Amino acid sequence: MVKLKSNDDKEFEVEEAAVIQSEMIKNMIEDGCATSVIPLPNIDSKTLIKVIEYLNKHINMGKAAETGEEDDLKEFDEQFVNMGWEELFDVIMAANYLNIHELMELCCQSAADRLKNKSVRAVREMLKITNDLTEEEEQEIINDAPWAFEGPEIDDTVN
Amino acid sequence: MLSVIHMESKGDSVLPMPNLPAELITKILLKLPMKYLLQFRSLSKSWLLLISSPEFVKNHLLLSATNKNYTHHRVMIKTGNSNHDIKDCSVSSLLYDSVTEAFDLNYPGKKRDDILGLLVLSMD
Repeated sequence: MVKLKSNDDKEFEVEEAAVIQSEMIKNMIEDGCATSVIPLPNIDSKTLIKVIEYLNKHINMGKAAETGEEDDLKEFDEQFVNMGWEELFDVIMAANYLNIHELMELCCQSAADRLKNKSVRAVREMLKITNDLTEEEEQEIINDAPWAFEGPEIDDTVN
Repeated sequence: MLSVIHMESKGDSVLPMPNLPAELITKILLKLPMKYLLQFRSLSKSWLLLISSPEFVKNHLLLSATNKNYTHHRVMIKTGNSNHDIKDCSVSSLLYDSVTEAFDLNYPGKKRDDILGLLVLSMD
């Protein structure tokens, strides 16, 4: 077992087979630097719990194809990314810091999927972006590729 | 332009997306097709700078061109005598779907920076 400590001083025990999906921790273990508790100063306990949940579920990913558990894993992934923007960004930051490639891919893809077909107005509201372009500058960008701003698929709702 | 982006990527509370450094925003945006990116340039100045940077454009093109499912590859078909009668359809749809829909190519009549490589098919 490997002990991880969040930045709010909470400790979590994780199986080595699960935690080595993190390249960063795998390297630490290989270099003999993971003898006691591994402090993770960039990750709070709420986010670390989510990451550990993912690592534990994906522990036997190589075996999933053989045992037909791929659908189960896919369903888990879909449920896993069902979270708000802020939480998703926290997990992306943690996955990047811990260097967990699959988790990074999953979360970045989810973020990209949420932005697809959204109108500019909707994205500004979803991500709390302040528009600091002048009306002229904005119009110039639209005139540069007006076809990109048109289409029945463009969704103006915020969710 | 690049120097501004460089500065931003070193900051702590980096816009455009709240809390995420530019490096991670780039990872998300690289997963989006060009159409959305052209739109999202108008979100704010920092988005415009990020999406217009030569580095980003190069990486996006590279990813799209090497996509194994050909998600962003299109086939252009000339359907009439006029130069404007051009339709296009998705290569991934041709390969994997039972029916492929071809659309009128909404060609703006000026240079298209997002077209790389041209495959000409001729059918008798």
